[in-house]
Amino acid sequence: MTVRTVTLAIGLLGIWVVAGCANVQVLRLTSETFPAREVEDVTILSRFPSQQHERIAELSETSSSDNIERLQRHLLKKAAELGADAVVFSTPITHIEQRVAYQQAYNPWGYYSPYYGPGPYGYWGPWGYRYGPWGPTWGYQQTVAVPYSVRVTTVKGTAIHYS
Amino acid sequence: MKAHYTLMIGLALVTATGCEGGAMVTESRGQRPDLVITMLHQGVIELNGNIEELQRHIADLKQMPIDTDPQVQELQGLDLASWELHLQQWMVQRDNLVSSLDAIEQAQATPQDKTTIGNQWSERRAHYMKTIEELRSNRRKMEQKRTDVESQVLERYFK
Repeated sequence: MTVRTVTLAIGLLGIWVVAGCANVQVLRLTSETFPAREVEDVTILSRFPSQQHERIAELSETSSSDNIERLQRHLLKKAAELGADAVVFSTPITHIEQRVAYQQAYNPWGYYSPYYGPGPYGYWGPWGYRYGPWGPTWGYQQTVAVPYSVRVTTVKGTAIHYS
Repeated sequence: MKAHYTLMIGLALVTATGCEGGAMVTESRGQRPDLVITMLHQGVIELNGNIEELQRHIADLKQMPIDTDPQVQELQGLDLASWELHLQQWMVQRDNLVSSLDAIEQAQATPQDKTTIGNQWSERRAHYMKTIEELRSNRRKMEQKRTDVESQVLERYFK
């Protein structure tokens, strides 16, 4: 298996994970099971109905996506798999998280300066032009911490089945 | 060579099916949710989220240090008042949706009382429209006031 194949495989897996896959947390509230149903049949509710019902599971998903409807769809899909008639959604919770990204710092010598090109010794050469502590880059930080904010949303709901 | 082709095809399939999951035997009970009622519930859920977030934002604004400049203070006060008005508007909208849901549920549970419930709903609706119009009017006045004060603050830089 070549390095290229492995890289491509990892890349595909990465895309799959980043593509916004549903990551619904399920807390079963009953051991009773119900046949799965179509997601279009599952009703969205903002409060528990007066009709007799059984609580099947608590569902929740947290994501840095701001799209509440998309998160709701994930919960509805999971509820449909559990055979729920409806999902009673509670108030979505949104909060701001502070995170830090490390970015390449501005290089005062420019990318094409003789000190930073691959050069005769290459990047991985014994002299460590780029990464070595004693090379020409000594004293310059190579990366900078860039703080940024992310809105994190949690959508919760209770899957119910009418008695 | 063969091994890595198999891996690639496998991964491509996983990626293609992605989050959709595999096929599942489902049963349709033939009764689709009422779209209008779903819309009302959806509105309540969204407004509840917006209201909670705005309440937090207002609480944060109240913690902000007050400027010593009286005109900037006035601007800060107007911003806070505007957010509070916005919050009030969302609450009125949310309560109206909840009230409509209640009325629909009542009408469905007791069809013989539909007319009475409908009349009560119409009265509440008229009151709601009046309240919303008042809030809009206050909002316009506040926006005008803010623009005036902001102009005064900015003009100082050109004198």
